[in-house]
Amino acid sequence: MWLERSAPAIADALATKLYARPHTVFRMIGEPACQALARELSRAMRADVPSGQTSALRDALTEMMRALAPKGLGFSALRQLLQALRAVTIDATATAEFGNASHRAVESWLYQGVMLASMQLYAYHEAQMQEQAARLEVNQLESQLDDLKVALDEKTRLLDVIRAVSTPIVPIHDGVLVVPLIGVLDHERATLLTERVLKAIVATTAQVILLDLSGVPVFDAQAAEMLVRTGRAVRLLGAELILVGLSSAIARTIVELDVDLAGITTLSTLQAGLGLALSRRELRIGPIEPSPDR
Amino acid sequence: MRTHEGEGRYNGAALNSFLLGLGHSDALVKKVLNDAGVDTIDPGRWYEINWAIGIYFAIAEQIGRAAIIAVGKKMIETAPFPPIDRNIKSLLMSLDAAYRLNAEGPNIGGITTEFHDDTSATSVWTSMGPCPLNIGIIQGCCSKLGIHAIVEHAPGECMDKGGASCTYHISF
Repeated sequence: MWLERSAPAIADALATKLYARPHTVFRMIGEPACQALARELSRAMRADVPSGQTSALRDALTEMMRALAPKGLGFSALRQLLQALRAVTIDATATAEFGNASHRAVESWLYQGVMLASMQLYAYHEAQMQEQAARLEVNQLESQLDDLKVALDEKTRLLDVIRAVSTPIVPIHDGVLVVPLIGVLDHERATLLTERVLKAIVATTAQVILLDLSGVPVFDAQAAEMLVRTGRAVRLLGAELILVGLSSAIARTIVELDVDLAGITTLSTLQAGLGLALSRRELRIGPIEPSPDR
Repeated sequence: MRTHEGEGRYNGAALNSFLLGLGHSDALVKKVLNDAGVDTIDPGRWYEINWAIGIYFAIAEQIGRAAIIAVGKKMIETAPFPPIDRNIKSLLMSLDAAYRLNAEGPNIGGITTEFHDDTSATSVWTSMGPCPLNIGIIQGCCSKLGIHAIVEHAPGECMDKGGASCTYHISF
């Protein structure tokens, strides 16, 4: 059969044409690789044309795309390949006994080659672009995430500073500490408060701690529970916790939450608390006696 | 960036047309020029070639490949260019002359273009300037004649990566 006889010549001529042009992917991969590619396409032609199929051609082009597209196979190289394949095939048909039917079959196969190769190159570039776009998107998201992490770290640091300065412990007399609280007392802040109060008791050997809640608009059930625990811990250290400045809202909350404040003294004002604290120390606030020389 | 060794100089008109092609990026242009020690580019004078090409690369680094290609496409409209023939082959062949209208000196490189048939060519550039700008200039030339060309960088060396030349396959 014509194809069997002409296939080696077609492969040789195709390989020569592919390798001949400088600055192409075919020149870059070298002559032996060009010969292998040409043999593969020639083999596909022998397999497909007699049966009117294109499966061998499709496989050959797929393999070529897989191997060469990452190395720079572009539109111009593909066109070079397909033009060369057609040219060497036409040259071969000119020298062989070749009927119209065979001619049409080869032309159809070459045409399918153009369609398949173009489609595969387009698909490859489309996938590349999608991959690049996805990579860009991931990079942008990672960059945003980094910015958010920095912002979160800064916010956390500021919150720590705010917590530290918003829980002052003021010694107002030997053995008496005042802890004025301002702002919402949530579970986290209540935990910090307990820790700081207990440390202060140990450090100052305080006996009475006045916890002023007049600057606290509201607190939740967990914070109330923490206050009760703080009271117990304070007692274990031999001191007494006195709650002062309870607002009506906090009083309502304590009742609604059914928090048991048994064992913790509560007073309406800091002034009353101060009086009680001093009396526990057998002290009181009184007028200064006029000096005898006035 | 490839640098020129010698007494090369570059046309301010070409550099200015490139800056004008950036369009809305006034702040960027101002920053790059300030970094280079000038306020504006005088289209009527010539500049030391490495300094001028440095402007191209400084902007390319800031705005990226796609934007540089876009600017290159516009340069045929504004940069000094030989009389334009209505023939794509003549136009592509005149790129070397256009380059020499804008760059002078020994060993400044050049542009050679070889045609394979009526619809494809290979162009080898050893000129100074960023690679994506060259792609944009070729595309701009083709667009001038209403042709949408595919310009592909050939495998192998690239001047932006230290190579001696850039080769482009042009299909139109």
